[in-house]
Amino acid sequence: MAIFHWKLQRISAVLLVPIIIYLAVYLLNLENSSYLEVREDISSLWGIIIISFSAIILYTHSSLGIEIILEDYIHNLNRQRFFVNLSKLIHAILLGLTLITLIIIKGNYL
Amino acid sequence: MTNLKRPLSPHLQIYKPQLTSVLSIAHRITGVILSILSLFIPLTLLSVALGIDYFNILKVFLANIFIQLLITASIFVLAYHLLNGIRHLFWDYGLGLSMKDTYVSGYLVLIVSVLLTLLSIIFFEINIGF
Repeated sequence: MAIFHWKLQRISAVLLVPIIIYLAVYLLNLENSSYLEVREDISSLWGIIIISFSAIILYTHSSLGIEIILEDYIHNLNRQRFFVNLSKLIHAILLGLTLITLIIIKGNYL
Repeated sequence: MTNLKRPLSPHLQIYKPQLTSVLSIAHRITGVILSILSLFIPLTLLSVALGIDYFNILKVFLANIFIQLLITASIFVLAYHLLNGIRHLFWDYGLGLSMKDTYVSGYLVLIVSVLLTLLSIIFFEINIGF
């Protein structure tokens, strides 16, 4: 399990290198884009693929990293397990929220 | 059974700061900051989903000079974590593990992070007051 954790952290890290550069550049350019452009970018096929894939990789990487830190600094095992699970829950909620808003944008539900 | 009395790493309070240890803990701190910043992914999407008014509110918020400063700091945090992460990946392949290499790559990560931050300020016309 620890080896899987270690490998997953590295694989997600490698995948995040191009993803995060692309996302950072896009977000830093946001003020130059109109609402319709952004909305079109997000709901295009590539937009949906890139955002959902990125969100899954990013929140996996984040969750694994926070888990390791909690394991290193929280010495009480019960408390440690509680905070690791809480962190996993928050990450799952953020990923879920990302995917749900994506569906809402694509389907024009709001 | 797990030995609960075993020493747990790392004891920062009794560890003399060196470039290597400072960069190492900085990797974790920047990682935590980036995890918190990842909140803005669903929030940005939500503002788009809610309609143009909310999207424009987001734009006004981002244009605020204090927020632009925070964005600049975030760029540095991201650049550092990204570059130091690549440094870690090299180590995983057994590359650059000598004392000298570790210091050279450590300084390189710091210098390039600062350069990338400065370049972003110019390229993306971030308004930090001058």
